[in-house]
Amino acid sequence: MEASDDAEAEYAAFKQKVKKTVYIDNLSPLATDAVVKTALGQFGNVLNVQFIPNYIGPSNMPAAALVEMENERQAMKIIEETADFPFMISGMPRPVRALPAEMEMFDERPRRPGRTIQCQWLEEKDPDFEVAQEIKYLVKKHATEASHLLKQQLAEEEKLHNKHGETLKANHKKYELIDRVLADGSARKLGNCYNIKLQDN
Amino acid sequence: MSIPREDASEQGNVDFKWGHFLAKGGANKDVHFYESFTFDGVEYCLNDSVYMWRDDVEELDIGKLVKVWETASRKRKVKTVWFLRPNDIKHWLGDVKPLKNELFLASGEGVGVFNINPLESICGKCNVICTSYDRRNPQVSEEELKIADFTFFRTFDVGNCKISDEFTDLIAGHRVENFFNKKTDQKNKRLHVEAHLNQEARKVGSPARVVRDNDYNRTSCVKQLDKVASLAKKDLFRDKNITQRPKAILGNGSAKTPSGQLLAKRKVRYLEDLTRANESDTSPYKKRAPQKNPGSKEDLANFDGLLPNLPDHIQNLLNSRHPYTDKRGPSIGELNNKKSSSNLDRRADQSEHQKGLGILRQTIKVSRRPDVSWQERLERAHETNCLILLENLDPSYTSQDVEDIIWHAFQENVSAKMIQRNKFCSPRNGRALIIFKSKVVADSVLSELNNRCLMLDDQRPVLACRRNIRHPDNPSKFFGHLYMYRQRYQKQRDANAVSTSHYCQQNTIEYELALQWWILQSKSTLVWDALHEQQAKEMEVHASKLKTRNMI
Repeated sequence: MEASDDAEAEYAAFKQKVKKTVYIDNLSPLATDAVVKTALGQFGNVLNVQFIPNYIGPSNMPAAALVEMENERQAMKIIEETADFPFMISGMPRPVRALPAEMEMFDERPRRPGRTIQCQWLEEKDPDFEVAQEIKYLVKKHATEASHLLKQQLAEEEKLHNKHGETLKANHKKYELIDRVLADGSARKLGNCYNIKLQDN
Repeated sequence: MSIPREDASEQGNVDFKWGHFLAKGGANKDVHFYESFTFDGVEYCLNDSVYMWRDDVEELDIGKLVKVWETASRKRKVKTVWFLRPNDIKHWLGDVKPLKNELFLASGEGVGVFNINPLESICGKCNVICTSYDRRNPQVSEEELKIADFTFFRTFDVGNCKISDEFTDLIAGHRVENFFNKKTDQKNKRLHVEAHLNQEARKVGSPARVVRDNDYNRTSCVKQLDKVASLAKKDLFRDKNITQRPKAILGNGSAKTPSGQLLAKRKVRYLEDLTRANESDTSPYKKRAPQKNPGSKEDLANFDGLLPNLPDHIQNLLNSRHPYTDKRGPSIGELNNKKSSSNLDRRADQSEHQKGLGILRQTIKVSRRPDVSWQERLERAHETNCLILLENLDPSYTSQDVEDIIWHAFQENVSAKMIQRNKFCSPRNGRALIIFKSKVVADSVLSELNNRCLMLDDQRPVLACRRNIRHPDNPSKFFGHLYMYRQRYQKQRDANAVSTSHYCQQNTIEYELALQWWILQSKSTLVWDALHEQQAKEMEVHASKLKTRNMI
């Protein structure tokens, strides 16, 4: 019985840990442990940063990390503030997303105590066999749907990214133009021509 | 409230009388502004704090009357600037811990600072004292603080949702001095205190004219009496009959310590939570003390029925004059200091302790990267075709669970890794990567699972397939981070902005772009949620077809 008590205690303790951990999404793959730690260190005491590895997902997917804070309140604060104000980590302008962490996101989670796992082989003659095959097919279908949606989402992100790039370049050109005109005196000359006073800030 | 008040006034049943006439409206001469009025037997003046009643809300709102008038159509209106309860603004409180009975004065530009309501929604007067140290705010006495219903010393700006200690010159277009305590001299203050207490006594005794109003007051009085009883038990001087005035709500401790006469009240302060350290400053009260005595005795006399009598030696304290101050003053100050400082010390100790632990914890824990070894193993396994992906597992299984399952089903020792869930996987579908010892084993398991059917708990047939592993060496493109061509003088600023992580300011172009990313994000969240819902429904349909079997 002691083993099960230990397991329960471990599970409960882990649940506490989950409560004070934040799941951060939309991270650039260039962000390292240290960067995330400093970034979120502004909200409180960061105990631990671990990235969620992406083994089978698409390459373009943004990175995600689990950041453990000192207490639940700090974690909630991060989640609330990133929802209110766009917070950027190591790059602009895409803001990160913070959500409360869930048990299944952790790799080192303990087993759920008191659970027994059962499995059985179904024979072909079994009437449920057909249904089970259908379910298998359905699961596959769902998985494909999900991956397709993910691809679409990434495509949209790429589009937005490119659009922003264009906007930024255009704005930049405008600023450059204004700067140039102010710097080399042509603005002043024009001003004299039209009798408009230019102010030098 | 069955009868709306407007109708009642038309029937002439509501007790209302205008008081002092102030002015006629500038634009519309039919609009009359007043300075005071009597409603329901209570006299109200401009800049009084009142309780207002809202239709759908249980708690009464508290506001300050800044304008009172009667329109041309004989409708009576008031403009109130609101005092916000901590509950109303708890989203923006953050770290701030509001005191008991603390309110926040609404200020700034925006919705929620004031409202114009019919006069009939007023429920009663409220005693709100400002305890701010703003130089325009007359400080209040101990007594007044005690009989106050609520206190405030902070404002809440509705525009930028921030709490601040500072008071701007204008609030909702009215001078801020109107919101501070009224400037009255000593005598008036005493009379004011008495009047208030009389009013309280009357309120408790008067017949139920407005059900809601009196119930509120009566229950609050009952609560005060209970509080008195409990305080009496805790008192320091082992004297059972220490009394307290009914409205014994203390706001934040003011910086002035009282003289000996107010010893009884001081005790209550020890027992409540002090958030500000009290400085021992007995001098301001020495002069005022003698004047206070008659006042306090009279007030107590009004409460014969309600409170037990003061025992003799406390009466003596209240009666005595300077000699007591001189003897007891400093010692009370010290006692006061010791108590509050010990509280502070204890709190400081605790935080140090925690801080110490926190620092300790920080040095021990090392941040963990995903196992590089796993990545290598996965790649190797993939190259040798020993890698299988299992799907439709229960997401709450751990890697060990999966290994056990494989062992029991196939009698094979494998390494399993449950894929950690991110926000895009279906919440029902748990997946795991299995590394087998050899290709042959992997193939056989794969074919078994596909041809036959392994059912897990919860009617889950297990799927197996082969999958490509993502190579981390592939440069992954990340959408969303733009790099601006650095200008000479912008370089410094940009470097700082990008390397540190920050909130962007609202007037920058980054903010606009960030908002667009937010829009995209919320759109995709909605889409994902919809997809998951739909998939869950489809799954339900099929799962119900399975005859429920008891797994033994």
